[in-house]
Amino acid sequence: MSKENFLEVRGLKKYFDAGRPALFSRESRFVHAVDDVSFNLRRSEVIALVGESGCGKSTLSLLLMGLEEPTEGTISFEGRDITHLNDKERKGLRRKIQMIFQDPYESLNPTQTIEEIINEPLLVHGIAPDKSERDERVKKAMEDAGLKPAEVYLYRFPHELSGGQRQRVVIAAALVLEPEILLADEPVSMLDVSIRAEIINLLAELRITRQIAVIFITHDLGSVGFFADRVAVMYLGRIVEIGTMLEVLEKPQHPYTKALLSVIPVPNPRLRRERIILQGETPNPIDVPSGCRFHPRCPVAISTCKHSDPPSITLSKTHQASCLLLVK
Amino acid sequence: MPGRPTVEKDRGEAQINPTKRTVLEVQNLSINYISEGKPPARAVENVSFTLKEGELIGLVGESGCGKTTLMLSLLRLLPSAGQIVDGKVFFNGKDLTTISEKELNKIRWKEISIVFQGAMNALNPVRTVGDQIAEAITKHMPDFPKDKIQGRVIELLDLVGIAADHKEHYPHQYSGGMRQRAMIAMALACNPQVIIADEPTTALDVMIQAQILELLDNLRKKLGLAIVFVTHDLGVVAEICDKVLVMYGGVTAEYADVDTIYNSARHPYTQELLKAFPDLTKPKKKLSSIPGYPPRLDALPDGCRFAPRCPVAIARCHTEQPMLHKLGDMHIASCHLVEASK
Ligand SMILES: Nc1ncnc2c1ncn2[C@@H]1O[C@H](COP(=O)(O)OP(=O)(O)OP(=O)(O)O)[C@@H](O)[C@H]1O
Ligand SMILES: Nc1ncnc2c1ncn2[C@@H]1O[C@H](COP(=O)(O)OP(=O)(O)OP(=O)(O)O)[C@@H](O)[C@H]1O
Ligand SMILES: [Mg+2]
Ligand SMILES: [Mg+2]
Repeated sequence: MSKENFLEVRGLKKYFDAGRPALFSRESRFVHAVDDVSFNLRRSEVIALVGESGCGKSTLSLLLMGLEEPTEGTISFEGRDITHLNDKERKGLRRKIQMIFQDPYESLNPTQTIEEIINEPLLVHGIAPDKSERDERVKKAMEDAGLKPAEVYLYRFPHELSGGQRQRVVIAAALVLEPEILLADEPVSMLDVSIRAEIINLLAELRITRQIAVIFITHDLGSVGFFADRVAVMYLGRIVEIGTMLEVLEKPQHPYTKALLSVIPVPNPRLRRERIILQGETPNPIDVPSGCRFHPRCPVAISTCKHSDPPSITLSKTHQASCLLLVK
Repeated sequence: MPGRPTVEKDRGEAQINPTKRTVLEVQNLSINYISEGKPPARAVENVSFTLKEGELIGLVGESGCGKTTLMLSLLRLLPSAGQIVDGKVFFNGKDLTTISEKELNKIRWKEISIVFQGAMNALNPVRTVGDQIAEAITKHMPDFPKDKIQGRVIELLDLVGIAADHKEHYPHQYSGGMRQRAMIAMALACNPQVIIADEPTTALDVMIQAQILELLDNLRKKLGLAIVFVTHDLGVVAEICDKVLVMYGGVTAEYADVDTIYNSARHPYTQELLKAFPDLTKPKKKLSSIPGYPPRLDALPDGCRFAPRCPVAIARCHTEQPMLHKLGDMHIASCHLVEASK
């Protein structure tokens, strides 16, 4: 199988019904949460998906998990169309695609021990009916997630662990099914800086030891640096720039990427630099601006940006961005 | 090119200015949490700092290191278990730890006000934001003329960059960034001299964080406010602070002007924190983390509180608590190794 068609996403859209604006309006309105997204993920590749709050990152990952039904577009995995599956097919696939949800603390049941939490996915999927085999897998997942030695943590409850350790439990519970893709939705945003580095290093190790592909979702471009192969920047439901990590960090082409990069805090006052602080917030995805969806906040927009939606411009074999200013 | 930091001349200078008036001076403050049948938890021990007019100090440290405890104690707002056991807090020469409640009430909100950690999520969901700001005005200033209140609400919203027509909206119609702005507007209601902002950007994304930092920076320039900015993120404060207090497990690790902290830190904890930061100028570099976890207050180590995690600890560090060593006019670090090299 070619590396290219491991996970392929084409023209993916998710519009949520936002109801009618007024009682007698004919048409209901839609939240354009994900609006025409296409990309490939290769085996054991790490893609960072970056963008402001509300740009559709979590919705995109829920679509990939099959937890939301797409409005349009296709998702295929290992050459097979997985856009619409029945429950049984979906369950089989879930072993291969696992997700770490955005609020890890809420996803840990406080009345279960760590052992029970990590064992649960095996029971749900009826994997390893033999108890000793399950114990073995739980232990391995924990140690791979850095909860070493596993015995120390097995019978503790979530509140008896630190924030970083709890995040490791969440990761272990995802690893125990031995997935091929891990969707990590803001896995470090809530953590202290010192623990953040630890969890990122852990994910970086896993993709080497377990050959796992990772989609790492974050609003902070600064935290993806060394371990992402590629970076996709999302704005209002769409990927506006995608490229290798170095292309995006060192030669960003989209004005939105440039702004996101400029506001990453630099821990040195001597390197204080000009920050491009976009005013306001991401516009409401119910009323997506005309033309280029970024134009109302864009510091370099020209008049044509109001009317024409920029195509994706190829800048190199691996680098694309959607901006009219890049059209030669 | 934005990917590479460039030095920007007009924003680089820290505002440390010896001629400015000191507004807040915290001296050797210690706070315990008392609970029955247990030894007191020494949540904050021997912390000092000063804040001058228009100055912005960053208070930085990991979760649980005592930042909120320290800030609440300044206005004696601690829960009843929390007790100031030592130290003084001078505000314009008055010791806030000893004055009467009545006198302190003239200072709370009117002279020093706090944007509480997580408060933006505690706005009353069934009342408009404008109403809640108006209530803050009448509550803290009962004599404020009734007919001027709505005008004042609009003025405050304008100060924090919220258009007047949002006054009538409910909290759920506000984004996270706007709710935080509204909290700052409330803190400004009585024209205080000092604002304490406890983790005001922690739950926000980087662009909104940059907006809030810009807002605070503008407010201090425009209103001459002195600001204490509490955060667990050392990178955030590098952007706007004049000086930084790094706390670890309830004690001062290091205290210095912003340039010293980021370019010649002497405490191993500060140094390790800086290394844990992603450096965009070296995107391929592996991040370094600080193994281990902060001390539990009910099981503090005998020696330096950081020793169990410190990469350069020597035998003495495990048995003897380091003192605060003065390394310069505006530089303090609590580490035995600093003393040895002095
Ligand atoms: N079930 C839903 N019904 C209606 N709108 C929704 C639903 N889920 C998400 N949305 C909207 O879709 C948009 C994208 O939301 P999403 O949660 O995917 O963003 P995000 O990028 O993950 O944001 P954050 O960084 O805050 O987590 C938002 O405007 C959100 O309000
Ligand atoms: N009411 C209380 N009774 C007993 N201990 C407390 C109480 N409140 C806080 N503590 C303890 O005091 C220490 C300092 O807590 P504090 O909230 O000041 O930390 P912080 O630095 O603000 O942390 P964070 O970054 O998570 O907000 C912690 O160990 C905490 O568990
Ligand atoms: Mg999300
Ligand atoms: Mg706190």
